[in-house]
This record gives sequence, C-alpha cells and structure tokens, in this order.
Amino acid sequence: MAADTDLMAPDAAGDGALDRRRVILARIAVIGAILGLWQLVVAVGLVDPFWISAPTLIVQELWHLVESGNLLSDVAVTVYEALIAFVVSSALGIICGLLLARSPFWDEVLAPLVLALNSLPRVALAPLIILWFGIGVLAKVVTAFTLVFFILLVNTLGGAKNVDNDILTIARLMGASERDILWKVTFPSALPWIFAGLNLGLTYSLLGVIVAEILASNHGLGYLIAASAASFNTAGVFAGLIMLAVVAWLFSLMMRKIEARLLRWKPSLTSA
Amino acid sequence: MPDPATIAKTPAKIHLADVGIVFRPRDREPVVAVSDFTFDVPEGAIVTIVGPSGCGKSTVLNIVSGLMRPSKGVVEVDGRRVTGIRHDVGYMFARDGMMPWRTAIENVTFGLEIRGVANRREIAREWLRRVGLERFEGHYRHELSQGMRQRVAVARTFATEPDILLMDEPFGALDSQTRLLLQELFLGVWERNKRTVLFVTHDLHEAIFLSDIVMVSTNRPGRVKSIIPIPLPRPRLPPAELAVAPEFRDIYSRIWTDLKDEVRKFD
Repeated sequence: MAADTDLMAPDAAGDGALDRRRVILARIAVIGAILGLWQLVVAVGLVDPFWISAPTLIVQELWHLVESGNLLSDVAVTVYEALIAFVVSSALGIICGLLLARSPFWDEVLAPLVLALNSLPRVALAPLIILWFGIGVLAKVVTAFTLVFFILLVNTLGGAKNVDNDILTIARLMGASERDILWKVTFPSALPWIFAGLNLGLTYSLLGVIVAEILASNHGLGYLIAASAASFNTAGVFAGLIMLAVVAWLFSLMMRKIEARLLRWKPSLTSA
Repeated sequence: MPDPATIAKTPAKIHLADVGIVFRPRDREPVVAVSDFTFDVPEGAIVTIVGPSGCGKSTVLNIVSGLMRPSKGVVEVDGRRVTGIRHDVGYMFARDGMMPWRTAIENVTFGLEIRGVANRREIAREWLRRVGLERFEGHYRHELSQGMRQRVAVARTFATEPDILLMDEPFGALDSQTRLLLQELFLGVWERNKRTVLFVTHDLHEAIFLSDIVMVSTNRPGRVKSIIPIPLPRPRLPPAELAVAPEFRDIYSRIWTDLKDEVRKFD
C-alpha cells in the first residue's frame, strides 16, 4: 500500500519574515517625525495653535482630562455603547442572514428592501432616531444598529448562499438533517464572510455611536469632541480624536485575535 | 472467481429499466440526457460506465442516489424503487468535497457524527490508517496535497460503511502517478468488504483495472451501447503491470472499438 508517496503542499509561510525590531523602530521614527514637524510648525509661528493645536498642548489637555476623571468616563461610555450596539446588531444580522438563506422566497421578497436600506446613508437617520429615542444610550445603539445590522445581514447571507455544492450533497447523502446542515455546514462555511462583516461592523458601530454623540448627548468621546470644538478648544478636539483612534485600534486588535482563533483553518490566517 | 457466468447469476443490487432523463431548462429546448437506459449492477461488483463527455454518466449516479428523479423508467435498489435521497450510499467526486474548516479526521467522522456513532474517532483513525494518512489526522485541507485530500475522501466514503459506492471520476483531477496509486489503494480497501460500486470514468485503463463489468454509453442521449465483462482475476495486478498483460490489451481494444465511434460523433 502506498503511504507517503505524494508530496506535501509547500509551507505557506515564506521567508518574507521581516525583522520585527527594525519595523517597530521605524514606526516610532515616523510617528516622532510627524509630531516633531507639527510642534515645529507651531513653535516657529507658521500656523496659529488655535487651528491645529500642538502635541505638547494636547498632552497637557489629555493630562487635565485624566485628572478630572472626564476622559475615563467618556471613553467608558463610548466603548460601552459601541459594544452593546455591535453585539446586538451583529447577532440579529447573523440570525436574519441565516434565516433568509434558508428561505429563497423571503430572500427574493426582501432583497430590494434590504438593498434600498443598505444604500441609504444611514447617518442621515440619526436626527430622527434622536427625536424618537432621546439623548441616552438607546439612541446611540439604534443609530449604530442601522449601520451594523445590514452589514452582517448581507455578509452572512452571501456566505450562506455560497456553500460548496459538493459538500452539501455529501452531507445530505450521509443523512444530515436541515439542522445539521445549518450548524455543521452552512454556518462554518459562512464564517469567513461573517468575520469580514464583523470587522467592518465594529468600525461602523463606533461610527454610529460617535455621530449620535456629536449630534446630541452629554457623555462620550463624540460629546467631548463636539463640546471642545464648540468652545474653540482645539487641543480638546485632538485629545478626543486620539482616544477614539486608540479605542478603534484596540477594537480591531481584539477582532483579529478572535478571528485568528476561530478561523485557524483558513490558509491566509494560519500562515500569518 | 469472478467469471461472467457467476456475476450474471448474482442478484442485482441496482436495477435500471428503460430509464430516461430529460432536462428542461427555462427558455431553452429540453435536452435528453439519457434514454432507454437498462442495466443491472450485481451485488458486490464494480461496474463502470464509460462514455463520451456529456453522455449523462453523472446523471445516472444522481438518480441511483435519489438526488434526482428519472423522467421515465424504473430505478431499484435491492428490488425497491428509489423514491428519495438514499442514506446508504457513499458518493465521491473528482473534487474532494473536504470541509476546509474540519481537520482530516473530523472530515472522516462527519458521517458518523450525523448518525450518532459513539466511537467515531477510533473508526475514523482506523480508516485514515488504511489510506496511509495516520500522521495527518490533524491537518486541514489546505495543508494537504491533492492526492491526500482524495485519500481523505476515500476514508470518509468508506467510514460510514455505505451499501453502495457511487464514484463520479473520483481520481479524474489527480496527476497520473497519484491516480495510479489511488486506484490501487481504493481497490485494496474495497477488497476487504466488497461493496457494490457504480463508477464513472473516461479513463479506460482505470475502468478495466477496477471493474467486473464495463458499460459503454453512447453519445448524448446516453444509451447502453455494450456491456463488457472483465474476466481478469482478483486481486488484480497493479495497474502498471496489468497494462502490459495481453488479455488486458484485448479487452482494451474491444472497449475502444465500441467507444471511439461515439467519441467521434462528438467532434
């Protein structure tokens, strides 16, 4: 009997591994150069700090905000709202996507509606949502929901409709029930699509929450940015933006960790 | 000894009588894929259908599995009409059909899991050993070569111990050396319990090496052109040795004579 005669697929990880230390050093240098240039432009009086503030002023402002405890509470409010909106909208989007994939009739009926709603710039709904739900957490969650839900719905539906036909045939012939097909075939097969949606959804969840906060609220990073701008405090605006960037970066880091765990079987991820 | 006389007396596992299959695509003329198809697959035999591309070979497998209904005629397994999807058949395609999100061993356990077999991991491990993949049970699809994926498919197909194996050019996508190895491997595994096999290929070497009976199909619409018993002793010689045996060459030229007119019509 022939054992190991055929060749193994070549290892996907090539020899392109970069020197991590050099990358990190270069990264610090680039950021340092940008900050240095910024500070310099303001220091020599080329641009008034009223418009663009300055790194030192922003650090002062951040320190001030940390001391007063406002920064932490604003970050906490925004993260809390964005995560709730993300979890609820994603869960509903995935469930509805899987349901629609199982019912070609309703998929056909609802397709134009989904398309229309999905192409509408949903941020335009924010004023209406604030009118309906007030300036509390709910209005933020609903604004983000209108963005995130459709992303997950469309991606899940796309993934669920793209299951390999051979695999479906084999599963059916082996006696798999509709339930088995859904959980053991359709769902895992759609998972890469779902994750693409989740990555996008997390960013949009933050976007929806921030927009709603900017429009009407008295907490959160969006509020911090809007309130600072209203009182001509440019350093405060930048402080808010920097914290927002940090939050967004941590979010995407978290998603990538989860994705790498759940999609171990994807060639691109295991070799990364 | 599998001489034609004993095979003829064995009861038919699969029985097709006067089967016709017509596809009716929307906005286009109906296409008659198969017409007046009548043949028997004896229990425990390997029967291969060879024919030009597009002669409805795969369609015949689909109606035996119950995935598709014939437009006319009768399809029976064990003397009973096929009315819906059968769960006692194993199906293999040219593509491996591996689930990329499951490891090799999890692909083999799939069918057993569906049936709630408790010791499925041991059974799957044993099948992986028989196809020579015991060291690769934790590998995912992208970590395996084409040939290894097809071995997983062989293990997966046999693991649920199906009564009937339906094989649609299962080694067709492999390079020629790997194909020879897998044909030999498949036959070795099959010898252990001799399930009924209905095989489709256009590789005549493969057909003769594996089969008890070769059935030549005409060009579309596919009809049974000739039924040729293969009286070569089992266990068979390895394909490379068999190919130079004089009796092999006689059978080969006989099948090719029937087939070549049909292939030519296609041009």
